[in-house]
Amino acid sequence: MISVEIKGKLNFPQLNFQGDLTHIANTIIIPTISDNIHKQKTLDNKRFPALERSTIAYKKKKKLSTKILIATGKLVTSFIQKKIRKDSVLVTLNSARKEIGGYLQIDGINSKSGKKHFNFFGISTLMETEAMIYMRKRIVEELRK
Amino acid sequence: MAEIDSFSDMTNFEIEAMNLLLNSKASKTALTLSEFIEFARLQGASDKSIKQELLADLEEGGRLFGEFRTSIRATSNGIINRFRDVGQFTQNIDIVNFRWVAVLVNTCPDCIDRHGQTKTMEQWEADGLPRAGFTVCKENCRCVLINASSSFLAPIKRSGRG
Repeated sequence: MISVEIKGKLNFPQLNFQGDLTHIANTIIIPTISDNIHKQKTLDNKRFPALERSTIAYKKKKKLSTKILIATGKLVTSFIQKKIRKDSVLVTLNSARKEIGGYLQIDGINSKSGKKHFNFFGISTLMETEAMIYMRKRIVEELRK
Repeated sequence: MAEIDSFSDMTNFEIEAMNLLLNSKASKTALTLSEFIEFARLQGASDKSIKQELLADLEEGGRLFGEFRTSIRATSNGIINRFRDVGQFTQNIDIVNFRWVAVLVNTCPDCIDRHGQTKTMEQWEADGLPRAGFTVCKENCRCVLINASSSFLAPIKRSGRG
């Protein structure tokens, strides 16, 4: 009887995507999140929940933008990326706004019609598709060298 | 005025961070894409076969691009919490031991058991992180893992009821 025992893992090469992940964060994820807010669209291309009349009145009174998720404009410009460790990029909100971001999207805001969630942060299918297109181009370009 | 009230309450909530981690977990001996292509060419592979292999691996999330595909996959609302947690834990790379802390309001029995326990991140990952579906409360879990060396929890005082 023949028995085979696999003692070690195959040493398959790993690829380093640090530069690609940084590029995807800077040119696809962050601009798309900001652009969606300017266009008043959620991550999955739907409309944000409407603001309460009282909120609109409050924003007008304070001479703030009446657009959803835009008041002073700090949130929409708060998205940043940073290298955490090798081959890891963290996309986040700067410290001045990330707490509010978590509150708006995850916890939700109480309103007369129930909790409203503003889903603006994450990776959409469009972002995923664009990242894949970018990577396919990278492979083709590298082979041309 | 409900929304204005909650708007002004924004400074009082407890959610700490919102992060999205793009992580391909490359090993110490990781090659860049160009190095990999050069390596394959030296082994005699044609450009056509290298291209086919790379594109197929990218599409399918194979051994080369598996972690990359995972990191750029579209997130749904349900798992954005997990990304937030991953981001937080990754930022705290100097912390060795993490303590499970439950909010102790409508806390599920699994989380009550875990409340106060201290483990390394690897051990918590094996046993199940908050919101990872390993506890009765599943993704509704409101527990957090905090630095064990700078925290102390008083023992739970149970009420006489039930």
